[in-house]
Amino acid sequence: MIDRLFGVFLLLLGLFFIWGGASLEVPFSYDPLGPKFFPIAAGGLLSLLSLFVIAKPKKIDFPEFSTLVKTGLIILLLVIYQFTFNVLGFLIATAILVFFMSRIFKGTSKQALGSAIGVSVSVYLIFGILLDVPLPHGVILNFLLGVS
Amino acid sequence: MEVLTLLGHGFGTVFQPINLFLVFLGSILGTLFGALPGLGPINGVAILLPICYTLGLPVESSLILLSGIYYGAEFGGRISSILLNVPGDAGAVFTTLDGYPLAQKGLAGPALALSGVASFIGGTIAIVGLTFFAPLLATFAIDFGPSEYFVLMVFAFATVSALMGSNPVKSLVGVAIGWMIGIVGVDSTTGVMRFSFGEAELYDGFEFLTVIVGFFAVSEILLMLEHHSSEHFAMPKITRIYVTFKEILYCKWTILRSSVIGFVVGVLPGTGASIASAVSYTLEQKLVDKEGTFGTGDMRGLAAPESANNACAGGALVPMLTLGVPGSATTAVLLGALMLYNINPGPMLFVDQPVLVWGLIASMYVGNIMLLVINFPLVRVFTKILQVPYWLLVPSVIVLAFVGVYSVNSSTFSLGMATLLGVLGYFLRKLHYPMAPVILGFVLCEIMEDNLRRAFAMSGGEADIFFKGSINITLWILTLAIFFVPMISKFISKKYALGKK
Repeated sequence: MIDRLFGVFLLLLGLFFIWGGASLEVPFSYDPLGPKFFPIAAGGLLSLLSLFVIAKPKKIDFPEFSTLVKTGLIILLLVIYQFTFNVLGFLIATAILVFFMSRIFKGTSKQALGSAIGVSVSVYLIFGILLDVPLPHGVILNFLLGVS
Repeated sequence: MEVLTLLGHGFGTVFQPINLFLVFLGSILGTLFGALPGLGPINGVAILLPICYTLGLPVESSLILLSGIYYGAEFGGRISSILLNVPGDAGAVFTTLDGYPLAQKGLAGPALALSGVASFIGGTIAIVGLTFFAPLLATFAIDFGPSEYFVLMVFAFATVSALMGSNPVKSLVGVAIGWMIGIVGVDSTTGVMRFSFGEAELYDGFEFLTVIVGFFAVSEILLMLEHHSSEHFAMPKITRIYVTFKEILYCKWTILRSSVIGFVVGVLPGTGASIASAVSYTLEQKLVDKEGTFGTGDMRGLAAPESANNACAGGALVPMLTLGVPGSATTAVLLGALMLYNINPGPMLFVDQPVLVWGLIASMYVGNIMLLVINFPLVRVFTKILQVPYWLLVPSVIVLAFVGVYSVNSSTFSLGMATLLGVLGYFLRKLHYPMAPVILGFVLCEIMEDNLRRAFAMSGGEADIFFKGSINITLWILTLAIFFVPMISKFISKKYALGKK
């Protein structure tokens, strides 16, 4: 079922690329083919192939429900990480991410807390200080340090 | 012997202290990534590449480190296969078949040592092959024009879809998706925006590093939820960590044959270590397994896949360095790394970048020796590290990968894209779409389209340019032939199965 559903997604993606490629406005092209052809070809190939997938779906065993919930949680954590990265700063955002990831992978609260502090601080020291990668301090730390 | 002079210069590059250190680091990290279940060479390269790039390492040093991780991982994949019956990466699946029974017999130490020696021999034979074969192929490939290049890509994608995974349809879907990810962004010849949705950060297309971190770090982690961490496995006792000459001599023909097979399979575009080890194992089983001891702890059954998958790593670099067409998923990422440094891959690489090419080749000789040497005393350390619990390993991997992606242009947008592609990668992998075609399609998309359009521009829109010249004809014949390979191998295995009954 999921295989067929994904096949439909592929078909839509393929059609979208055909449409998107065909509706590109090209003011001037130096070559006879132009930038339209390749997206249309890729979209066409994908749409064609997706028909095979839709016609003959295979049975896929997905993991049990609790694992899927965890998968969803990890994705959510990563999205939250992206949006808190600049506001909370690298140290705090990373510590939060690592703590919950650790918990999802069956660490005890103590182990998770240890990894959260350990990973965020050591990565900050190595990358932020030693290798000079500009990692954001975040609003709170900047306020405490008196930097605007 | 011009080759030897150039190789000598290469050793000059490698013996600079920084590069020597990077070979060492690459070997250690590679062994680790290979040994940790769930992480393989491609994950190692995906995580380390952004870091190399931000560090501002010169391109030859980056490549020395990254390819060290590549062949080091093929070396390390055997450790968890033998000790835990859990293949460290896809190439090590066949190592479990005889490696684990050996460990159960109390021969874990000798099995590790023998497979180490087999890996070393396989790796070295492949590098010798690379040293002499690659420059030849490069001189031949200099005659390639745009149309030849395009047909070569068609051939590469044909081998990928025919040989990778079980279902050619799904492999080709992967290729198409790879192209689509590659199409996004500004078209280099006309300046037209394609599929960038008005998003400024997509004008240059998907960042290469974001894509590989998404596909090989994020999606890997989502899949790791289903694996089991190795901390709960009972480790077999390791007694003597050496192997006798008698044992090596017992396997000598197996090792030599498998190394050659591994190298040849590696050279074919798009076929990775998993195919090399599968082919060599089945062949050895047919050739030397008279008593039916394969699968019950036969030393030869262990030596075959191990020498093959290490030889494959060397072989896969041949088409990547000479033709700009990667021989496996990991070399596709290495190729992307070259492009990141604004180096155009292709036959001119040997002429334009001798320091890079020969430094890399020389570093592999050194790296292989290092791997052999560090593997004996450090095997106990590696088995300890194997037991790193997932609750520490997984968050560390994702944080390292994300810091790398972020640091490339200090943007959190890339982090979001990596997550998005990670989810896509998760579904693709769950639904048995192989990832190698996707990454190959993505990396080769621009070159393929450029050459296609250039060829048409040269011919004035006539398609017959793709069928002119002996190179084109040969490539088309090879492309057709490759589609018969799966049929033939199915036929042979059917016959073989019948014969056994």
